[in-house]
Amino acid sequence: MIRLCLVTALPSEASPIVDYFRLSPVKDAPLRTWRRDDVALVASGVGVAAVTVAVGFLAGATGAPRSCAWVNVGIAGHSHLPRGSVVVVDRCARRGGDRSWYPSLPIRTALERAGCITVDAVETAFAEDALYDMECAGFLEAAARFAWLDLVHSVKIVSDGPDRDTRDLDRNTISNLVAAALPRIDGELIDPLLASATPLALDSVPPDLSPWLSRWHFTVSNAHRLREVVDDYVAVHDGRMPDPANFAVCARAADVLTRLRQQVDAEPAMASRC
Amino acid sequence: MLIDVIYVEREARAYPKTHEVLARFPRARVIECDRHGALFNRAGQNFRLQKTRPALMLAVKHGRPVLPAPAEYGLGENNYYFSHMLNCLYDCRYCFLQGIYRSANYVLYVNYDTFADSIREHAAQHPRGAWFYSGYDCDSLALEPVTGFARAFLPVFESLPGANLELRTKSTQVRSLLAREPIDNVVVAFSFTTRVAGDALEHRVPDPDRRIDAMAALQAHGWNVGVRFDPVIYHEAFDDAFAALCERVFSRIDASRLHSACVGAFRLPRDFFKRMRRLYPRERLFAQHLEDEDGMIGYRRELERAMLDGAYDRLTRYVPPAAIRRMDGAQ
Repeated sequence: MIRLCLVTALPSEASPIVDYFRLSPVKDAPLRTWRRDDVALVASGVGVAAVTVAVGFLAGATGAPRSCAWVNVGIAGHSHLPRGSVVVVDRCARRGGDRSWYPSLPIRTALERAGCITVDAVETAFAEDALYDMECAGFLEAAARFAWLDLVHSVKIVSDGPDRDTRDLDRNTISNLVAAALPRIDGELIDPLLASATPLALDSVPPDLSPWLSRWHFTVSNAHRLREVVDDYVAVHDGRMPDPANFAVCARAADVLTRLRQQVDAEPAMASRC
Repeated sequence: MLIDVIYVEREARAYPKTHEVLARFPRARVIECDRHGALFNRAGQNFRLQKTRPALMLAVKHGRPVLPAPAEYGLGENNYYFSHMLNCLYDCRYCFLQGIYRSANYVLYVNYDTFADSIREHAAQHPRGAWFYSGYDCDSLALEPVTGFARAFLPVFESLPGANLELRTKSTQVRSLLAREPIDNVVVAFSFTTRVAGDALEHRVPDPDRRIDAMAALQAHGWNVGVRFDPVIYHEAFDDAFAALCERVFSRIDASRLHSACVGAFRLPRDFFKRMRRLYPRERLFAQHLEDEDGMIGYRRELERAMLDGAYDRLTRYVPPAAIRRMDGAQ
């Protein structure tokens, strides 16, 4: 199951991430996409529209669950932070828009935090004490549709500012900036974020009900009840699934539900935690 | 208490309480926002994740700051509650706040004067007495060093002898109460569960013995104190565990001077329960012995009745029946 979806705007931002996570290109994908095991990466192209499409595409292509972490990694300008600074966005607004996003971190991080203004063209004025990028607002808005808000984050590497414009930012420079930042991004953001999401991911794996559904006829509402009582069974048996073979005497689905419930309630209440 | 991030509503900036709180957390990242509701109520947040590192939100309370208490909640007539704060420092798996709010962040309303004015207005409507509860959406005292809630509101109730205040808590933060003379119309009510339930379900809550210490200190100082066994949680050998809890409490607390004792079972609206179960699908508490009755999820009637009967009988060995309230209405 996918646990981490990464999104960059530029291929030159993606390239060091591909190396770092040892990802492989996904052939015939409509967007430049890489994947390995539980990590996926897409390079969206520049701008809010592009990143919105890319997030939707990656969510659909990977089937990422809500407990998947989404991280946007990219370069950004800043009014005064030095080139190479690694900054997590904790407030974001789109220039000219009336909405703000406040990504909240469920972890402690040593990374610097700052607000971000998403603009439609390269920034040169840097009037506010903030990051300036071209995707963050679109990324946060789109990824929040597929994951818990607390797992959707944008991390920026400062590349330019009032004293350093974007003209010397060639592909190599961008890749080098991202490559240098990745160990910190991984250690201070991605890794703890995934650790915090792990209990949710484990708890959200639905039980495999197919052996039950193929053996007895469950109506739609009884199938829901089956899911509930199997969850309860698992809860009181420390993760162990019930075995349908032990219910062979049950002629009807309703009998299965009754018997399962009896077995759940027969277990000592809270005994396993005492 | 560790606070990394404080969201401050623009409007809240002007309040002295905001400056007071910000000064306590000089290293916190302060993020200004227009309205806290846009963050706090936003869909898609995960309460369980946020509970690991809640942020603090400083906001201004609009609308009605004092509300009628739910029918089953209350010690007397004319019951009201007010919430200077939303959410709790502690993490109790049975707590209905998990089912109410989308966010686990703490909201502190800094316009205390608005609450105080409204309390005075409501008190004036009931010259024969009213009750006000501050521990409905939060623990009344757990964040006292940060909020200064009791320090600010005790003088309000001191000037309103007909208005009674219940401070409900699982904390040991009683320094501000011990630093002043007690007030007759205020009761400090401490919540307890059996050791088995506490160990399994109450996280970050002070040890019961330390809470009993705090309670005993308040009683010795002259404060009215109460005990709240609400909710009682079913487990094996519940009656024995409840007997042990009573012995533990009343070996230190003078039961003859106890203001009140309440006993109630785990019970909450279906929608809250569903949300809590979705947050913790592997939680044993939500898996057993429960039934849905008219949209309320609680223990099966006969089980609930047996638990509450047993608890009530046990309590009467220490506390006069007139001072015991059963939250299921039976006596």
